[in-house]
Order: sequence, then C-alpha cells, then structure tokens
Amino acid sequence: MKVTVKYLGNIAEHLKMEIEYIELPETSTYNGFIEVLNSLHFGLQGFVYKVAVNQKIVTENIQLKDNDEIAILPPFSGG
Amino acid sequence: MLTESEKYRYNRHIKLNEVGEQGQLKLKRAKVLVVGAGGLGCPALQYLAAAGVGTIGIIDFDKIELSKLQRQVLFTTNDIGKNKAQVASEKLIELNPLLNVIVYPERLTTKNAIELFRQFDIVIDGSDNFSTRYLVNDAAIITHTPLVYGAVYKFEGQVSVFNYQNGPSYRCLYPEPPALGSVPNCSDVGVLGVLPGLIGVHQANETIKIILGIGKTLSGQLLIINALTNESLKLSIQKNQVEYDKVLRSESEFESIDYDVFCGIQQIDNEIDSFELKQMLTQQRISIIDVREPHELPKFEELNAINIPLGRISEEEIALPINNQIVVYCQHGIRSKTAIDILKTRGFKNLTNLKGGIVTWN
Repeated sequence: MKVTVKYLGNIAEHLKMEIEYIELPETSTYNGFIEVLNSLHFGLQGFVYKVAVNQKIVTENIQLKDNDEIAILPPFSGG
Repeated sequence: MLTESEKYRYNRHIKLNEVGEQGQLKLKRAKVLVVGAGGLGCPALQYLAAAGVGTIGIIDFDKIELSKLQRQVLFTTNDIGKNKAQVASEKLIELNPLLNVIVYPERLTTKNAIELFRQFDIVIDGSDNFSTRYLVNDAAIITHTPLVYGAVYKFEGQVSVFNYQNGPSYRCLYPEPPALGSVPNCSDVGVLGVLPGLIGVHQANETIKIILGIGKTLSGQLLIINALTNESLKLSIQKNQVEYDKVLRSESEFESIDYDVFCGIQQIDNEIDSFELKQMLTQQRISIIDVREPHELPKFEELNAINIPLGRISEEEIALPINNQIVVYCQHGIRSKTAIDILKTRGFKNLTNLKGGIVTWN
C-alpha cells in the first residue's frame, strides 16, 4: 500500500522535500511506518517530531491504510 | 456598564449579535497576559487593545532593535534601544486610553510566573524559545490558565489553544523539547515578517472567542499555516493525561526547575556519549537509571537499567548508595538532565547524563 507523507518545518528542509509517497507492506502499523521512514531517512532519528495520520496526531500504534495522509511535524519555537 | 464613548468606540462589535453590549462588557472585564512583545505579541496586543480587552499585561525584558522592526509592528525606528514591554504599552494606550495596561519589563522565570499568571484570565504565548514555551505551558497548567499558543518557523506557523476546558497542553503535543540547535530560531534562519503577524492575529482571535464564549476555538487542534503556499492543516491533538499530571505533580518543585537545562541551553557538567558509556561499562561498576516511561522503546536488557520514570524520580525509593557512579538516560538525553537535577537534591553525588539519549546506543 502507498501513503502520502508531508514533511513540515525544518524536517522538509533537512530532507529537501515536502511530499513523499512511501510504499509500505500491506497491514502496516504506525510503528512499521516509522521503521520504514527511519530506514529511508537515517538522519530523522535525531529530530523530535509528531506524526499525524489523516489529520489526527498519533498516540498509539494504529493500523495504516492505503492512501493514508501522514504529516511529520517538528516543533517550532520562533516568535 | 459601558459609557457612551465606549459604545461609540466599540459600535461595530456591539452591532454583532454574537458580541453586543454584553460581549463588549466581557471584553472590558477580561485580563489577558501577553508573554513577549515580539513578532507574535505586537499584532496580538494591537487587536486586543483595539477590541477593548480591559486589562492587558505585557512581559518582556528585551530591547527594541533595528532588525526586529521588520515584523514587530508596534515599534518605530525612534524606539530602538527602549524596553519592548514599556514602548508597547505606550502605543496601546495611544490606541485605546480606556485600557489598563500593566508593564513587566523583566524576564519570565519560575519565580514570578505562577503569581503573575494567577492575576490573568488568559495567557498568550508570544515567546521565541523553547525554554520559555515549556515554562509558560507548565505555569499555565499549574495555575489552570488557558494558553493561546503561536509559533513560527521561516514561512510556517502553528496556532493552538491549550489547557482550555480540559483540553490538551503543549506537552501533550511535544512532551520534550528538541535537542539544542536542531530547530533554529528566527534570528538564525530568518522569518517572513508577515508570518508572525498572521499567527499573532490568529492568537488574538482565539483569545477574543474564549472571552466572549463564541464560535469554536482551536482547543484540541493544531492549525498550521504555510505563508508561501497558502496551505493550511488542522490536526487534532489528544490530551495526554500522564504528561499533564506530571506537570501538576511538579508544582512544589516548579520554582527550582531549570528550563534552560531542560532544553539543553545550559549544559550540565557531566555528560558522556554512548561510546564512552560502552567503555565505562567494561572498566568500572556503574549503576544505570532509565527515566523513560515503561512503554518507551527500545529497551536494552544488557544495560540492566533501573526504570524510574521522571515523574516518580523525586519520590521513588532508590536502593543505591549515594556515592555510586550513576548514569542516567532517557530517549533523547533531555528528561535525564531534569532527573539528574532532582537526584542531586536527593543527595546522589556521581551523576552522569547520557548525551543524545538511548537512541544513540547500538
């Protein structure tokens, strides 16, 4: 299955992209996705970020579906 | 009661069914504290003053600088060098002399935050660094004050309402700050001047809706706006009761928490990386404490760590001699610093932090 991943803030800058389509094994969970993400982008391990799946911030290891929209949100501090 | 002059000044509000004279009176009686009279604080303050929010507090220790005028729209070139809170209050009184504007030309600290927050109904976070943001969040939780949050990065901004009607707080979104330097500040990487304007006006809008009790607020939601693409995202956030309770439990030690240490701004003396830890393990007897929550992964059984989550570190019985060499770790090496501060107060002498946390172990 395929998910759309949207990168925000300095993570988009770090990866030099704002959107990525990632292929995942069928019946992938959130934790499985994070593993794939870290294997694709090793440098992400040093970042603090939150993940939203279909506009909801993820708090547990949910099941992902084909075409899920995922957002990767680093914190901002500027004011 | 509103005076005739107030009725005229706020006429366009009073004409709105959702506001009316009653709503305008609510605004007049409201007390709002703005932390930071910067890019976010300036526009928020202007709209609050124009709207007739009766008591406005401004806390900012900083001075007006030429490079800030690109976004801090309350100030003019003649104001350079003066205190931001002081000048902001003068501009607001010019705009609306009916208001009570209170100036705090000082730094927000753990010593003054609680007493200050207790004097206001709502706090707006217009700060520009993580340690103040966590301090503001925690003080808002402790004093049960709704917090209107805004933050910016280059072209992207975030807005939310925290700690309102049993909703989530900033720590429910980001329990711990990023490693120092991994998220640069406006002064390092720049920011589009209009962006804090957009976000600060959103903060004023959320504040006014809370005061009036109308519409829907961003409680439980994070609004993200991209000024370059005009794209916006609205994400739902759940309350994390564990994080919330942790802050409430820390009330008694709040004054002694060093938020700069928590955010890695102030280095603690004793830190090792995972390579050095590996060497230490082969050379000497050390005890290891893991201050993460029990569910946090990965676990490394070979370390034989004692698991005491940070929230319990001040009270849990620790069966280790106080002179033992103890290495403390968490996920990213940040909570463990706070834990070390607390362990020091419990008499432990040889404490070392694992820099970068256990994610660096392999």
